[in-house]
Amino acid sequence: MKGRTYNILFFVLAILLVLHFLFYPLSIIKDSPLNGSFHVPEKQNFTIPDYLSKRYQDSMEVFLKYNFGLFPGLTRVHNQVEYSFFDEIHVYDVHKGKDGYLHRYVPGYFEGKQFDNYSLNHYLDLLNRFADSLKASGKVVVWVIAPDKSLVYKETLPSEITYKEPINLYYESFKNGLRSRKSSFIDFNELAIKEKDKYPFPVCNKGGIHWTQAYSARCYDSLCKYISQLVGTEIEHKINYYMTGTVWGPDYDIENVANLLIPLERDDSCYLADVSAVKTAKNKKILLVGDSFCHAWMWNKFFEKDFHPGSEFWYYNRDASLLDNKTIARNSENKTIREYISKFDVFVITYSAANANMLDYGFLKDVFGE
Amino acid sequence: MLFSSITFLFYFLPAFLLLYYLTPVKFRNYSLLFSSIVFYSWGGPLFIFVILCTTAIDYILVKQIEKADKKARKKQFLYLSLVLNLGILFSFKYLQFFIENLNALLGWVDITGVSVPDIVLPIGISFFTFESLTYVIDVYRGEQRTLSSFGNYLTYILMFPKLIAGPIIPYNKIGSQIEAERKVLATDRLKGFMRFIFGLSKKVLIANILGETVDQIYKYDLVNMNTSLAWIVSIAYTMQLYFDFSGYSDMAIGLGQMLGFRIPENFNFPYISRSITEFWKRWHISLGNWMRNYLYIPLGGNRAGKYSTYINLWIVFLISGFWHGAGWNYIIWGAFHGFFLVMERLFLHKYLKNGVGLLYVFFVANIGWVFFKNEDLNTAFQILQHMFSFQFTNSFSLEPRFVFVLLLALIFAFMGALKPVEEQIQNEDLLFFKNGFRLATVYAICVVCFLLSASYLLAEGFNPFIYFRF
Repeated sequence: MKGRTYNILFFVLAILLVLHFLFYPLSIIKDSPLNGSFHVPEKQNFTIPDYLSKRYQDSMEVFLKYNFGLFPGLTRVHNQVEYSFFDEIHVYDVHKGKDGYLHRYVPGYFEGKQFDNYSLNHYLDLLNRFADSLKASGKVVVWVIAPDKSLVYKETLPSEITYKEPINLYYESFKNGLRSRKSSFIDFNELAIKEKDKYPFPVCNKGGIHWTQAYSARCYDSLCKYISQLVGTEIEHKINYYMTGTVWGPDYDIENVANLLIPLERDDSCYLADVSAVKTAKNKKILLVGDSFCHAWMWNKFFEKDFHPGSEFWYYNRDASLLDNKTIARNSENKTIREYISKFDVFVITYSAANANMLDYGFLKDVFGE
Repeated sequence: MLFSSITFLFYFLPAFLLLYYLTPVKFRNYSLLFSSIVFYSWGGPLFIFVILCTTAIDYILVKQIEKADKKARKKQFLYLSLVLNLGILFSFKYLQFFIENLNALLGWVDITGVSVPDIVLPIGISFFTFESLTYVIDVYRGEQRTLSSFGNYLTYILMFPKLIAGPIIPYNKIGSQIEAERKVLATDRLKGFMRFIFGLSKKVLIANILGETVDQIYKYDLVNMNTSLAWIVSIAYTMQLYFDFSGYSDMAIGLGQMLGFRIPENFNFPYISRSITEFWKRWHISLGNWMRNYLYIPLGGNRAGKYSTYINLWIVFLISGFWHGAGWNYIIWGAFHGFFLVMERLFLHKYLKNGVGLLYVFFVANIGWVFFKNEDLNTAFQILQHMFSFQFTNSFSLEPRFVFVLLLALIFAFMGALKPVEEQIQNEDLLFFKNGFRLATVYAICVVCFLLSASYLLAEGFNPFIYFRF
């Protein structure tokens, strides 16, 4: 073997050390960014005191990691190796279950925690007060529980996750609380468990954490029928469920965030739903408060077709957007929250069964100034 | 800066290699010295001044030793240098430990203790102090001449490949290499790089993965741990330590080779040893050699009869244990090894043939590492109790990845016991190759190992949320 060969081989290895510069900062080669929500640290300015105290170095180490040109590519390599050889999935709180189902493990959900009586009763008091005060002014409030994949497809939970029946005590105790107060609510979770095999489309896909677009449309239609009864304005849809080769991304949201090199084994098609409005309630302003389960309704613009354009969605009771998904400043009119929400006619407060411990994300406490 | 960090691998290393290879051969020590200062000051910006100062004083003292005509005068400078080096090591590493123990003693007789200073340990202090001592002692003994310039001495002490975790290179093994104009052969560059990558893989793909589960098990439930889990965690730690330390040594040796240095080996399949005596010829070889040449022999070695040999051995191992860390657990660990070394000399060696010896070494080393791992002696004894309680009650589900890596680690650790592997290593042929096919195979494995190591360095612990959650 000649020195020249050795030099070439050494050179190739040396190239591996500097290849990342072509991605960042030179941007000669482009790689798609990683999916999911994570914090990318900002670059810290150099100062001698920071350097001497090692703060600068520590922050630069993190900064360089997240801004490393090969970060997306090598992360996918890592995730693929972990998934293919060791069944590990690298998404926060997500585990690979049986039959390829990916599940999110929510601490407190399987750990047998539940509301203490005082907190729950206090919350249910607030809820009754809120509903009663709205009733007087002819407004309506609807409490909705969205399904949770780990409950609907309980049989596919990973075997290493141990839990005791009844599971998800937050959800159960909240639901029992609502029943004991005779507060009406819609429990799509219970519905989904009953009818999960009724439709050609699944409630949740194997690689997704939320309900599928198609199932969210089915539930949306029910929700609208319920609202119709309450407000006395008929809302009617025509829903067309159809199969398509184009997968709707959020239906496979865990899979997307798993950042793998090779897509997971799945059908190359996915059921979607076309929801067309037949009768609408465009004169009704709706306020939707909820978590990421509402994305399927919002991103498919279901509400936009039926309700007043001034309606709003408050994600986790924090970020606000209009029904066309345009972000707005929450309470842009600079009023108190009670004044501000008085413009809405219909309130839909959505909980997901998995997030039941977070109640309404503080909405009622905000309303009553607690 | 750690070798197994993105900053080192993808920013520092390429910049350094470019600078080093572009520098004319006779000035390369300067580029090495400059880069070593940058390297060290990144991780310990304040301590670099400590090293620079002590090194400067040491350099002057050693020059005086060389110049002095009379033995007594030489001795004075030798003692000065020893006090300086050991004093600094003591202040940074052991002072806190001594004050804590003193306070505990004073507490027994109801005397208020001294306040314990919060001292941060300069990285690599144990290693570079021992190297400084070899320089002083070698020159004092007249075995070596001093280096021609302060720059070269600084290069010896600060040379970044071995600065943080060794190997401890005695001056007599590297002095002439620093003074010489080193030309780097293409084979050495490539061999060195590949050795570095294999070392990196040992650290990232084996030691780190084992370490993660070891820490989890330690956090799990020490009180209700069962026997099998106690053995698994102790064996996993044994492997973690070996692959971590030997991986770091491989990286250091590889980097040295890329720069034209011959850094002595530090590990040679220690777990295929048939006795603890042999184990110490294969584990942290550079420390063993240092202890023998600069402590055991000056203490009298085996020249003054059986019993003083045993005492000397024990002292050496106690000090060796204490060198690893300021804690009673390290002292016990050293004493534990020293005990078996003496026992082997007394009678045990007769029984340690082949498989028995192999099992004995693994057993003793494994028990020893339980003390080494746990500064809190209660925890160490708790683990030992579980290891021998023979209760198999609870369960801790082990990740398939951990099991796979542990098995792999055990295979690699014992691979040296196979005749062909041992022969290849003796011929320096494992990483190098006589024909194209073998070269291509090892090279391809090396590239895969590098990419995997980089991906694990980057992505371990990266678990994004599905959506932003408040």
